[in-house]
Amino acid sequence: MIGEPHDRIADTVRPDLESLFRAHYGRLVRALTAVSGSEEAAADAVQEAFVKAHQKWRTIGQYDDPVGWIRRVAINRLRDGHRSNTRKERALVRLAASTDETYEQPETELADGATETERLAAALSGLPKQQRLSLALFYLEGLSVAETAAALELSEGAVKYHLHQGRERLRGVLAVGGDR
Amino acid sequence: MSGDAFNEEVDDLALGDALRRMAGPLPDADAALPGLHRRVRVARMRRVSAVAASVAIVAVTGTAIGLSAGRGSDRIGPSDTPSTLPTDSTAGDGSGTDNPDNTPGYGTGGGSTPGGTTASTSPGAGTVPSTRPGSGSVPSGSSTTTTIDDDSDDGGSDDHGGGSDDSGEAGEGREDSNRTSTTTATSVSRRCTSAAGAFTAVFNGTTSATVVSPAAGYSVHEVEEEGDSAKVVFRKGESEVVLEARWTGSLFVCDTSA
Repeated sequence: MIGEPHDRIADTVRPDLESLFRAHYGRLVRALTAVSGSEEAAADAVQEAFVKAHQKWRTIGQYDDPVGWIRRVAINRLRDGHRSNTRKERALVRLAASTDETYEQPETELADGATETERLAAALSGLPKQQRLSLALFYLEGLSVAETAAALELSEGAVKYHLHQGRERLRGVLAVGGDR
Repeated sequence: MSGDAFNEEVDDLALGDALRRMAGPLPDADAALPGLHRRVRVARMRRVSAVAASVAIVAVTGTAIGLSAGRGSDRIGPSDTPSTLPTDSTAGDGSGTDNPDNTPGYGTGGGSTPGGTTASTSPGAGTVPSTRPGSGSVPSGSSTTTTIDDDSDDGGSDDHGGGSDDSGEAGEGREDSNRTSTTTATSVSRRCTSAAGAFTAVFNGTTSATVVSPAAGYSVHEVEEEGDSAKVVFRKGESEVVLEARWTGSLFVCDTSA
């Protein structure tokens, strides 16, 4: 009976959803990791989105682009988590202020010897959320402008604008790195 | 900047490469798959638990409602165990209220004396003036007719330690229910009522009179328990009313004589 739990696990997720998971999980998590800065949070959001898809698969499975739905759910979950974390950080700041203790903000400045990857990551984390998401979905997940717009529930023009603004900022980082 | 400028910049291969290097290798979906299975299983269990909890809540609510309904009916017919026995075939169906307690000596609060301020409204009220609306009166020209009353005419409160007589005012609407005996495995009881007073006759091998309640102005002159008969004599001045309960072997018959 030792193998029974494994067999049960194998039967848990629908085969069609499992194949979608295999095909899209990696790129989704990588893109959202770039947005959130935490692979753990990104993986959690993506897996929960797939769980929700499994629960509603009778409906979601009929969609032309079920992965688009899953992506939106994952993004929303990540945003919710970000809001929650932001509230926690603000609460910590208020708490520190009330107790006259110094609350140290997360260090974002880079040392002089930072690599291009570190500088790029720092610059990306400093971008507005929509710019980060647009860049991550377009460059890391490989979506088209239209798909990115659908995922973010924005117009294509708005996505192009965010991509442009984000590129300008990141190019500056890369240029500085290249000059060194 | 125009839209074309945006489009020209989209294919920035260098930036794309830099971002992908920054992001690192793709996470392994196969390695993450067992985690997805676990989450799906947990979600399914939560859903089953939620459904089970909902079912349990519905069941508990239904039970509570059922119990409440049961209590409500208890107020109408307080005792579950007694069965009702119609006294005579002309006295209605015998449904409705019964004595809430069949044991001898029930109604320890003692029946309260009717107020005696309200005149009888029963048609044909006769020689003995009724002081208890709803509890009936001796019809004119008859000295043998008896109204058998249930204990609610004593306010329905005898077993609650005495209460008002108000509920007796509704007695007219429940006259059928007055003509009932209450039976348990060990005893049969019945409330016999007349204009002069009332008592509860109990048969549990022998017949006895309990909870004797004289009407206003009357007093209990004598209580006689003998064999299958219990008799109470109420007196008011020179006037005497005898209320008798006779055990027929299966039920009580109440008689009054002035």
